[in-house]
Amino acid sequence: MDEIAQLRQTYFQECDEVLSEFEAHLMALDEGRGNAETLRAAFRAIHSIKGGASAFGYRRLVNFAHALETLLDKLRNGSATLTADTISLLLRAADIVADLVRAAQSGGELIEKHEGAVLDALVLRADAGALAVAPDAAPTVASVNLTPAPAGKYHYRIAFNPRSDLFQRGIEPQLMIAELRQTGSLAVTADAGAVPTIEAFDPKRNYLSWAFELETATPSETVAETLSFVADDDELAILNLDRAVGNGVPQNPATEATKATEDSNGDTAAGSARPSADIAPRPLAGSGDDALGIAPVVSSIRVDLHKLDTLVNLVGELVISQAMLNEQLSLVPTDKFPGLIRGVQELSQHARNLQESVMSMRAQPVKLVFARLPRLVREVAAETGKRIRLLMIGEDTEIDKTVIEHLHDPLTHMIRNAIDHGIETPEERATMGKPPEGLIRVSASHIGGKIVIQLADDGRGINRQKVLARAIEKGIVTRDQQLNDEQIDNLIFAPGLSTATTVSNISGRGVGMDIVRRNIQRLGGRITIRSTPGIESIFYLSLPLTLAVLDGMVVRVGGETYVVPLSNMVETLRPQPGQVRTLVGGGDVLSLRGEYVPMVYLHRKFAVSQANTDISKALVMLVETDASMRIGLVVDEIVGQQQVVIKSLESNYDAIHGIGGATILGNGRVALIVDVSMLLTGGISPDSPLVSNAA
Amino acid sequence: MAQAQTSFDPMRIVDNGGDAQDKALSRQVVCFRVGAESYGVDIRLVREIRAWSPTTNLPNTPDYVRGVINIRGSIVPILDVRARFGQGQTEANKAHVVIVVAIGARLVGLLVDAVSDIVAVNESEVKAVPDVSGAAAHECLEGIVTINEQMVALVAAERIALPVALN
Amino acid sequence: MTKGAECRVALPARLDIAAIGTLHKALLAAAGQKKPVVIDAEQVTTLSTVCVQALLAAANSFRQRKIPFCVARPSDVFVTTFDGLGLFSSLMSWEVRQ
Repeated sequence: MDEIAQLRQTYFQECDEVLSEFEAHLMALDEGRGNAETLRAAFRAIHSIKGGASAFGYRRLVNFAHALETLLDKLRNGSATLTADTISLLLRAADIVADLVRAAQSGGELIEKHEGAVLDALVLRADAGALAVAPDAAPTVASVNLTPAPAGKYHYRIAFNPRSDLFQRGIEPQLMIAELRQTGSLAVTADAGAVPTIEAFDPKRNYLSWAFELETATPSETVAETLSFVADDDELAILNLDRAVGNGVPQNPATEATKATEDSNGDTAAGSARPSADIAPRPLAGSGDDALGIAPVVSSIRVDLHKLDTLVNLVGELVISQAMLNEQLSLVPTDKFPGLIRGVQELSQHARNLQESVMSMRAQPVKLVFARLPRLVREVAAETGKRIRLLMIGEDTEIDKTVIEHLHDPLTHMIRNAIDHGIETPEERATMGKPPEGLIRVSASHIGGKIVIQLADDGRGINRQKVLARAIEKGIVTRDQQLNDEQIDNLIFAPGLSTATTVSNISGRGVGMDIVRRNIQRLGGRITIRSTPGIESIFYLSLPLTLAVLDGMVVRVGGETYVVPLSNMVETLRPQPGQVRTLVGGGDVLSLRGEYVPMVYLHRKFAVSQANTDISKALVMLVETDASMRIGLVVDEIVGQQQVVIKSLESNYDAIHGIGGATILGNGRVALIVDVSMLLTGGISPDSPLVSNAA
Repeated sequence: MAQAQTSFDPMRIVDNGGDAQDKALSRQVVCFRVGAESYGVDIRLVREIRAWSPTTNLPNTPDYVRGVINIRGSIVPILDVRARFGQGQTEANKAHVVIVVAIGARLVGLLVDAVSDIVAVNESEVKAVPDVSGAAAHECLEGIVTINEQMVALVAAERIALPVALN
Repeated sequence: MTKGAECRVALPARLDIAAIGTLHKALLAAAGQKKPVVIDAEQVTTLSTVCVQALLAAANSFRQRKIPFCVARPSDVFVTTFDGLGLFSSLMSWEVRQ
């Protein structure tokens, strides 16, 4: 049945989300940012995975999830203590759950005892219990953060997985939903996957579960309390999507104890301390009537990425047709068909708006990539014996999904580099008067039409003498070359420049910063580093907002048209007599304000016939490949600036050196997009900084 | 982008004519001419037949790769069959024809002088290729058949494109 | 399709908890026969979640047994109840007749 397949797919997607939330909870606990609510949320996360697994019959997953859930249960009610070791165990367990989920999804089978060791460890840990803690005291965690919740709007995701005796307890979910609606704007999704056929149907049992997304001014304790009248602890999971930490602090241990009695009585009527628990809708304290009339309901649907890609392609085609239309229209005398011209202009505007809209659908918050960093830092720190604090800023910055996929590797390398080479050991830091914990700060922002990611560490910075010596040794630079500090720092991106005397297990898998830089450049991005010795190093990584559309400068070389990405362009000039010199070893350079810039003649590079070879009649476009590499592209004429849709050359042909894709111009002709970074290879070495002071 | 374009539906033609038994042993072949020679390519590979239009040159490619054109949003490379067979470059104009074939997931355009006919060829009539013609043509051919007293060399389209695909 | 060739299930106005027994029996019967099923929901003014579940279960059976079924003239309450419970898409996956 297709519906089952659909539900299963949804389940797996949710498992992914739930697992990353679970990991986030564990990291919060590890860093002392968690509290009792975090533990409860962690429990409910695994509980919901187990529930679905049980419904679909994934036995191994159910068994493992159950063991994990048992330990989490003991942790949340205090009969087991949370230690750093426990967290490590829980993290490993999360990995196993991910493996089991993946196996279930693909239909493959993991080896017999894949989860065995961790499973045993979980059981042992749960049985060990540890310190005797009074059952009705609030569970102890590493530290409890009591930051007051910020005022304003909260955004919650509430998972409601009621037990099968829901109706027998006299609860009508519609009333509960109505109450939630009164506190804010609510989106409801139900899961009817467990509903059997009418023959197997037991009218007394509940088979439904729900997910709510609620936007409200009500703090989560109040929401939780409201819901607690109709739902038990293990049926509800409230996730604060704004990550306002410290929200879920229990009112006081007494409330916990009262809840416990309530459960055992199986009775929703409570003691005199609380109002009677009838389930008629009633206004919540503090919300009032103005809880309504707020922002539109926050809701979302799942869309197959493939469908979205198709949509983006279709819109791309529309934009191209639009450009062709405009081109044809420019031939029409403006006074003859004013209506037509106006119509097409409007169409242009609509097409642009549509494109923006569709592109924004593919934009995802960079937090998806950032979410994996805390764990990475934790592991690398452990392996190197260093202590690291990770600060992440700008997680909500959105990038096109085509770019986001390419972010994880560079970030991983940059962090490993920072921890391995940058941050000193706690002892070393103490002697320098630095706090024992190193700080790594990752931030993402939109600057100048690009996504800019900074990764700063407060470690020892780049050892310039060592790097320079190494570069000279490898022949990357010559002894007499004058390099400024910034240029020396950026030598770390040159191939073969690892300065670790032993290639460490972590940073040296043969993949160095040079590969990282090449990959980023291939995407049209840049990466540079700035360092202050003894104080800090900062990586600057910039990437285009999307890989599908490009702002380009259309140029003509002979009878051919090319597009140069605007992001690479610095300036354009017509060379003056005497400005172009020929080097002894061959190749021309342009003398510009005290620098010599190597020139690349596109008509030679691309073997264009009938091109202008008279340099005095040509134009030189100064372009930048990375921080210290500038070249002058020689072209015949600049046609104009245009936003173009990037088409792959490789789908029907192969990659061509120096060409980074193609596009279709307004006249229907194909124009090749120049890959500026690759232009110098096969000519002057790209790794030798040719920017030198004029003699 | 004003180009004369003859599109046809290969499937329609395959369904025409021939009884079931014939169909099992025969295939439909699109015949085309390069110079004085006649060739044929299996119709199941043919996606479109269009008039030549100026290509955008691709640098650093073999001489038989004429460049790329835009076909409804896809960037399609055009291979000069004459050049591929080592017989020189075609001086292409609007009267020349491009046969667009699908090779696996890729689309490739074959530049030829003209398309003549679509014929049914019986497998039993296909003979092996004698080693008379030049080596370049030879490696792309998969058989010879006589149609209306004319010798038609059957082309394995994927082999014309092969050195390209290996890059 | 003539009237005689359908199996009609007329839903009463109040489908609260008390009505579940009767509803369950009626839906079981409908699933146990072969004629196309028409669930007349025009009169519904109260619809409890217990009964919504029963309808969902019945739909599962109809699909499994390849019995064509539809909901005829659903009342506003019927539709908004499904919607409020987050089951609008389930309702829309059924054939709905006016």
